[in-house]
Amino acid sequence: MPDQSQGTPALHPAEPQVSRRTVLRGASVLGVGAGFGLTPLLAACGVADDGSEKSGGGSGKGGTLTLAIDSTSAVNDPAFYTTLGDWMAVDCICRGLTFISFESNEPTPDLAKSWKISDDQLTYTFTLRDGVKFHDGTTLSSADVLATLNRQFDPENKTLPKGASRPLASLGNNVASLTAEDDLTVKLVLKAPDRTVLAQLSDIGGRIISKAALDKYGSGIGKHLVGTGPFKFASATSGQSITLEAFDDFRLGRPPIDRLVLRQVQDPSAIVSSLLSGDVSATQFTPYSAVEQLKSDPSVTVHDTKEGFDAILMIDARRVPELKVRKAINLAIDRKAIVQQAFFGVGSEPDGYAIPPAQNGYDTGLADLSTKNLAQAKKLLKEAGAEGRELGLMAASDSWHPKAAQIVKQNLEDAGFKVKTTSVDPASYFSRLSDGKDDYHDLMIWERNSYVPDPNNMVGSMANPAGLYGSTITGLDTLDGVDTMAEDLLEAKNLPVGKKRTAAYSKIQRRWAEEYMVIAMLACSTNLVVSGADVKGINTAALGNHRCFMEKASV
Amino acid sequence: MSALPLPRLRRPHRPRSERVDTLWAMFRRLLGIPVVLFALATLVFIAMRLLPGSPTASLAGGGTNLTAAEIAQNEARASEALGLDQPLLTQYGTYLDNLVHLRFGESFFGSNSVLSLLGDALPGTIELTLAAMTVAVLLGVVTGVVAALRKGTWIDTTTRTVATVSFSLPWFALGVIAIVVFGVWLRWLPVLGRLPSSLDYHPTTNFVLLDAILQNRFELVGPWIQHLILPATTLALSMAGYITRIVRASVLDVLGDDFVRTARMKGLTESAVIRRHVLRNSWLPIVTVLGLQFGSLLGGSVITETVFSYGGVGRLLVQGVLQRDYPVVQGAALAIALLFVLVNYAVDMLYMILDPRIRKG
Amino acid sequence: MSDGTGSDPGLGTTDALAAAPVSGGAIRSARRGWDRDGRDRDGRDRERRGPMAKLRRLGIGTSWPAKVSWVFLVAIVLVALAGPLLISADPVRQTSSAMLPFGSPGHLLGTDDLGRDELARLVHGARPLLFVAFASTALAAVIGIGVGLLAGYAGGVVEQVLMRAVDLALAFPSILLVILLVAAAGPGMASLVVGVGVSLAPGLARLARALAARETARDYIVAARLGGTRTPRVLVQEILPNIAGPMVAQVVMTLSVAAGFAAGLSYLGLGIQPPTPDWGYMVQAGQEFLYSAPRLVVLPAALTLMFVVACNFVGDDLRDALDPKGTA
Repeated sequence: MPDQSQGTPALHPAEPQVSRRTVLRGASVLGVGAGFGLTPLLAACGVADDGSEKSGGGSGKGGTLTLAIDSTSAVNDPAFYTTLGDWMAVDCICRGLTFISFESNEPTPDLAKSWKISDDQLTYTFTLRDGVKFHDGTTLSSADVLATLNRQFDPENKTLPKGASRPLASLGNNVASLTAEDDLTVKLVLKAPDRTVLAQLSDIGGRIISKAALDKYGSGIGKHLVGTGPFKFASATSGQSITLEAFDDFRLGRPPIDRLVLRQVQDPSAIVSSLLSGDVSATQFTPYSAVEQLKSDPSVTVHDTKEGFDAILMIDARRVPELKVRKAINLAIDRKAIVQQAFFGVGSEPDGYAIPPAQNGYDTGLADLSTKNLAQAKKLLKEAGAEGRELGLMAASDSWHPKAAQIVKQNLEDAGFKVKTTSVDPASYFSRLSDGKDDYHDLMIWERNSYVPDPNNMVGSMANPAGLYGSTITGLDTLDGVDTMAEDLLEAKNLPVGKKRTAAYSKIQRRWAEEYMVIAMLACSTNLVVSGADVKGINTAALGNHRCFMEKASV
Repeated sequence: MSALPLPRLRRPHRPRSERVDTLWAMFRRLLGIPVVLFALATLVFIAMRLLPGSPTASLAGGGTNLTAAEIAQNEARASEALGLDQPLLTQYGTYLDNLVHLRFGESFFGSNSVLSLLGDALPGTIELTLAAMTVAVLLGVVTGVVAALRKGTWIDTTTRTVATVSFSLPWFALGVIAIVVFGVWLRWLPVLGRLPSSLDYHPTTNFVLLDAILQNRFELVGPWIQHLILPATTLALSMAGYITRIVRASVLDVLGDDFVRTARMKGLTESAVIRRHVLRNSWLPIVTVLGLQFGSLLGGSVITETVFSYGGVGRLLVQGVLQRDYPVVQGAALAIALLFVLVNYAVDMLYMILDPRIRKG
Repeated sequence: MSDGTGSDPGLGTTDALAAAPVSGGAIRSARRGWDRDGRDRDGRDRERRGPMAKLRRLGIGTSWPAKVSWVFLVAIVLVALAGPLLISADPVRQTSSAMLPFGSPGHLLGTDDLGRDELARLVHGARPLLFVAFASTALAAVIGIGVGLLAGYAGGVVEQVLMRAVDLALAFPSILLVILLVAAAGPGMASLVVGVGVSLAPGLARLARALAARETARDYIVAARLGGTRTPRVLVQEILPNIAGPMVAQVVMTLSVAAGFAAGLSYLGLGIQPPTPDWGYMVQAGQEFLYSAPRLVVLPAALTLMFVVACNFVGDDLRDALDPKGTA
């Protein structure tokens, strides 16, 4: 790869505050894990063939693939979320019991070659694949699975580093027991049914670590991660890069490339210029403002990925108690302008309310919940006697957030509100969201990603009155009648994927919007995946959701 | 910026008591350093804890579909693990105790030891700063001498104007322009990071030049210099202007001196006069400027590091503050301040030794 | 009449540190040939008395870069103060979603990407930068000169303690200071003013101390103290005027540093927040459109640059006039 810069970079503001993607840190932390429906495979108790063909294998063309990431703290531990970049490294180093490719949304067998689910949906019996090798030479057995999952479930586990967030903790709260029947069989017994278990296990928190390595390194495993993935850990420098090397004995064949480097690049214009120069092979952190310029440049490919995240405006119901006022806010927003100006056209209006096009359960019948009607907004405001009401609006200071904030502010002022805005650096945004006494805690702009594409992860998290959104941020739990919503959500979660489930979620969303309106949808968008023109085989659908599957990539 | 009057390097005979005076003054100044650092450490400690928001909020996170109650539990657990639930004075006591034993703690976000983080970040910044200062001195001295020798002509006026403009130009603008011109239009230079990612670099000291020698990998040096040129030069341009002015002033000053006239009469060529007498005279104020600039370069490097994606201590500091990563901020601030104080002490000492008039300073 | 102690700054290389504090007028009249009232030996009025002449006598505004800079500075200050009153367009109102180019009807300089009038934004955007630059310099001057005067005059322990505090302030990384302030109080002008002001105060303090210490040793101060004049009076009425020359020059140089610093900080997003216009922020926001609409970056960047350069030239000019021997 030449080091010379070529082409013309779109110069984007240098953002000195910490990685703009640390905003996603909060969001993805909110979104990790999740729900998922069953697939026909499940009913058939799993299938031996995992459906993916072996890669070209052998020595391929070799070379180094460089991905630009938001940041890295050189700690790659599936039980400790640090940065998106670190998480991507875990994705490459370790594999899990199940796997979701994002090209389809169904969990497929990975380290577990098959599974049986009891009729009462409480017992999962996984049969592990035989002869799968870890990077340290040991062979996969149920002991590894137990060791990995137990540290997710048990906060007192000795191998946990300080402050570990344990993404699978909620699954763990629902686990009655986890045992190894024999070397290749693991039995998981739940307390209550949960159809999203298989999907959650495909997530990064469910990635399996070698027990031998855990025994050896204890809580320092994050610096020496050992898994069964296509790339093994070579070295990492905090604040700079993570270097991974191809693993010859990867189950699906050695990857075509020799090295995978995840490189921290925080300045948006640097991302663009290094894409054009070839210093970076691919990234999903491309600034939206560069999309036109990159599309017209033959040396890079701009990939079209389906919209997978929601841009949202959260309303604190304790500070804006009148439903009419909240509805007025929702009706005043000009979503077209937001898609055009904040996202530079990379995105779409939220026709499916809280569920973006990439996910199961996307229902365009909900489009009327997110339309603009200024006259109606003004009318509602007048009826509520709230003309001239003062509102505080807070938004993170990077990427699309400030622009969206300005547009929303203008929209609301057109409707008759008085709005004061504040811009917060991404790293402290999460704390401010959690502080209900903050001056600007009336309206909050945020985004909701999910690592696992399921409505339970979007609607289930955001509409749950006991969850972070429902309770701390929007105060949904203070409103009447929300308990039934929690029940409905639980029920919907456990339906199999299909029309019935979609209908259940749509019903919940409609009620959520029409009776409560605590979250207004601004847009649906995707992370902009751009790669060099000669880079082939990267899983762009996954990369658009911050998942990193590079086992078939070649440069 | 307060430059001291240009000193002469004539050494008058100093009685012994004066020499003792000097040593005593130097020693007194040296004692002041730990006091300053201690005060700074305390200030940073207090300031970080006064900031709204706390590290535990981000750590506790809202993983998966945790309820608010579970998040609160997580926060409490994290708070305890990191020692943040202790009363402030206890935390301060622990901090001081650790400092005295040279334990700088670990980052809250990933338990990287602060020392290793500094070890990863500082060398890059120092390399950049030193490179920038070298270029600045070279540029500044050459232009300053030229301007002085051609005093009153258009060369002089233009040089002085350009010098003033160059240090008025903000770094970020220079950096962005440099990337566009040299990285894009001319395609002469790389614009990303310290070394190309195709190179496998395993740092021993993390100073590339030293490591190239120690590891016998001289192929590192070429790319390293290539990657250093743009950021160092943009930084240098903003400093060179000051140096030009100083050099010009001191050259003019000395050129009017009697002993220079004598040297000329003795038959020395102009360049020999310059080399021998004039340059020797101006290096002290140059060093003062550099000393003062060093500190601001270290801390202010965040902009350069962001624009050029050059991992360094500025970014470490800013990120630490934003994440409320107390140990990292405390460690990085102390490291920067220590370097700055030492460098300036060295400059002050040079002055004290060499110029009797400034002794009291 | 002049004291005639040979302290004429124009002749030879007399050590300026030893110069006695006599009035500039006395010196100049000795050189000129007519006295302080402008009358020569025949009683004719030789002196030009207009304000421009006074300035010229002080040596201000002689070279053309200086002249241009003075004019530019005055112009910018006027625009910042009066401009918003004269421009009727609203710099904050998003009028259309299209980005209009130069010379569109109603928008002389076009609009930005959110449809806001560019000319209005430029005019309004001068205020934050100028305000922060001037306010922070004033703050730095008050703190710095105050501390320095006190330290230089008092000497002894007081001086040591104060100067150590100044060292501390100098060693504290200024970017950290600003970031802490912004994190604590939120971004905006107040944080910047305090951050920049406190960062620049030590430089002024050091100079003030050096100058004050020198003055304190002089006969006239000793006499004043013996005569019973109270300390504040001594400081303000005796010492301050005699160090005013170099001090003013240095303060103006500090102004240019403050302006550059403030511009950089608002570029970084630590300054005044959108939608209020501000040149630094406009440069940052406009970078995305560097190729499609360069005026969004070029105009505010050029204006900022010119302001900083003008401050520098003006500072130079003042220094040449008020402090020719470079004691500062």
